[in-house]
Amino acid sequence: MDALLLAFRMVFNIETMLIIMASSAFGLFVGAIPGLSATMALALLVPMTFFMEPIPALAAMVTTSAMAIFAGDIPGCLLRMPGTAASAAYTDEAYAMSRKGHADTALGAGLVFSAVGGLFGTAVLIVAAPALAEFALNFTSFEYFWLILLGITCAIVISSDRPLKGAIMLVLGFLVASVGMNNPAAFPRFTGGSTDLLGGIGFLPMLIGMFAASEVLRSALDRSPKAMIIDQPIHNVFKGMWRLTVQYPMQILRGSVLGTIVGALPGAGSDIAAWMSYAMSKKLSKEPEKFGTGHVEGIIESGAANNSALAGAWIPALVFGIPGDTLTAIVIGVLYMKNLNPGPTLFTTNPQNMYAIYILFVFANLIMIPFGWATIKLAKKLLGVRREILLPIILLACIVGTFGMNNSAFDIGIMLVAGVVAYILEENGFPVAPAILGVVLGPMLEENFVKSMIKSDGEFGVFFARPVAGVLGVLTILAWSYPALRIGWARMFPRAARAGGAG
Amino acid sequence: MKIHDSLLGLAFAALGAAILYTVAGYPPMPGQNVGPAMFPGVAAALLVGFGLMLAVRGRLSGAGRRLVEAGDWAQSPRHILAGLSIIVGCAAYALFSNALGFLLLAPVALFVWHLAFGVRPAAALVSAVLTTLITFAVFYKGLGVPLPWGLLKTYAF
Repeated sequence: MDALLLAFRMVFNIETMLIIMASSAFGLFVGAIPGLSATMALALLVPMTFFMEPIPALAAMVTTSAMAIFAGDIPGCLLRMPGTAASAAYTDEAYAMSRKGHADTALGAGLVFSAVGGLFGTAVLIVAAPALAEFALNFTSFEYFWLILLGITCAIVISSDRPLKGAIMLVLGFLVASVGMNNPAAFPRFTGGSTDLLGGIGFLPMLIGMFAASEVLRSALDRSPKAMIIDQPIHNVFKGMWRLTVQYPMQILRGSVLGTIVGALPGAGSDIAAWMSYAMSKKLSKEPEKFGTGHVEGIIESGAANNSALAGAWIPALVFGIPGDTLTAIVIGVLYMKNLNPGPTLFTTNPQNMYAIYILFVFANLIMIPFGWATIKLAKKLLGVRREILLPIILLACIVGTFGMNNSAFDIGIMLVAGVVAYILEENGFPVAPAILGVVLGPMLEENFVKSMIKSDGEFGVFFARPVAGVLGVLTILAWSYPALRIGWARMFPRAARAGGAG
Repeated sequence: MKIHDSLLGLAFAALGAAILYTVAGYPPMPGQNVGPAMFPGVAAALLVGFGLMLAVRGRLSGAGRRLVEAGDWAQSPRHILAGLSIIVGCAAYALFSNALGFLLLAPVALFVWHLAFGVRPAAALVSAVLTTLITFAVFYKGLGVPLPWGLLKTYAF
């Protein structure tokens, strides 16, 4: 109980509160501007958290991501341009509602059910994470090896629509993570004699490059014409929300559950959660013909899903150090930086930190309602912000932040190269998320493999000897054969596969 | 910039092969059968395999498309300039910030970026100066992020 009290004190003090307010405003702003993503918001935040205490730093990350994911709905509704990828699934639907004069309902549903989904995901986090952590306390390098392998396999094979390109990105991430001396043998790899590379390629400069600098570059090169804002007065966004809650309780629950699960799967985050639950909503709806014409049902379900995915993604991140999505990949970087190394011991040694994270999640989802309301009121001004003024400012923030963390100009070079490479690869349909997964998990995978090999004296059969490790190992191998099975299935039953819309 | 999958696939395969060649010379860990070459070696081998798969798939499905196609920004000098200014600006900051200092370099970089993105000179000047001052106040004074002083070192405050 003392730990809980301590946690409350860690969250409810002036410094943390000020940071929460500032990061709410920041997250809402970045999320609401099309072309600036939630990942970018977090990447830009990293250098600032570098100089904060652990709990305020996590407060900034939790609030910024929750606010940004909700705010992505606003331009989707008014401009037909999703503010973040997580809103893309129902942008057309929300825009159709605005054209029918129901912008307030679309925005209100986005806001209220985002908060509901977020709270649901948080509840699951609070219940599931400590239970899993207790289970994971007995894990050895064998279990971790398989778990990481299973996680990345899921991320590539099951949750990506471009498995081959995703796999290439993952492997590139492994190779980037191999640079330097951070390996079990402490042998300098791929340094080319450079002392700057002995410590490896900086994770945080790379993040800022891949998620912020690359987006600045993309926006600068984008020639698509400016979208027009729907000019329509927005009245009370909360009107009718209770009626919708009573009318669509199953949809809210389904969206929240699916979102939390998808979020917890490594590599799949809010955007995939929203797409999947929008599709599910349509499939199971009593009035599927209304979808796409400005019908609120899908917005409720997928709006709940994308925010519940945020909390879900923290479960594997905190318990195993395996990020559930790109946002938590960044968070894991920050956790290590703050000496809060993820893993089951995080829950036993300093439980107040965990309680503080739970409180932060609940609090962020509650203040989302008034803050989100204010943002909707200011939406037209916000969406009128000129991109050409904003981009240079973001670029400067990237540079200053990257430089500041290590006082290193070399890091700015890393940021630039990562930004240009990420831009070119994304243009060609390579998903960036697996690369970041590879960078985070590569060293863990190698370390656990080498440890296991040493323990087993080079005998690979021992990898299956412990019961949990054995099950995880078999599951991993099954997941590897999934693409082959799917192709085989499609060959044998061509008609069924086509009707299922496999793609 | 669209690059044909078959070209990208071959490039990745070549990169993987080069890495395999490099790690072949790495020493083993004494007394162990896995050394520093194992992990990047496996990753590089996978990269060769996946790269070749991508090349073959690209060849089968996308024959006839051009190998490299620039985006539509390539038709607009202003957009080319904007893209170049980002790359040159970051590189210039990396190279010269320690010598010149943030307060001298940042407003110049911002001014150039604003112009390259199509902001009028007067507005660009105001925004560049204001952004520099606000960044300085927030990052350096507020958050304690170090910024290089450069030429202004004697006046540091």
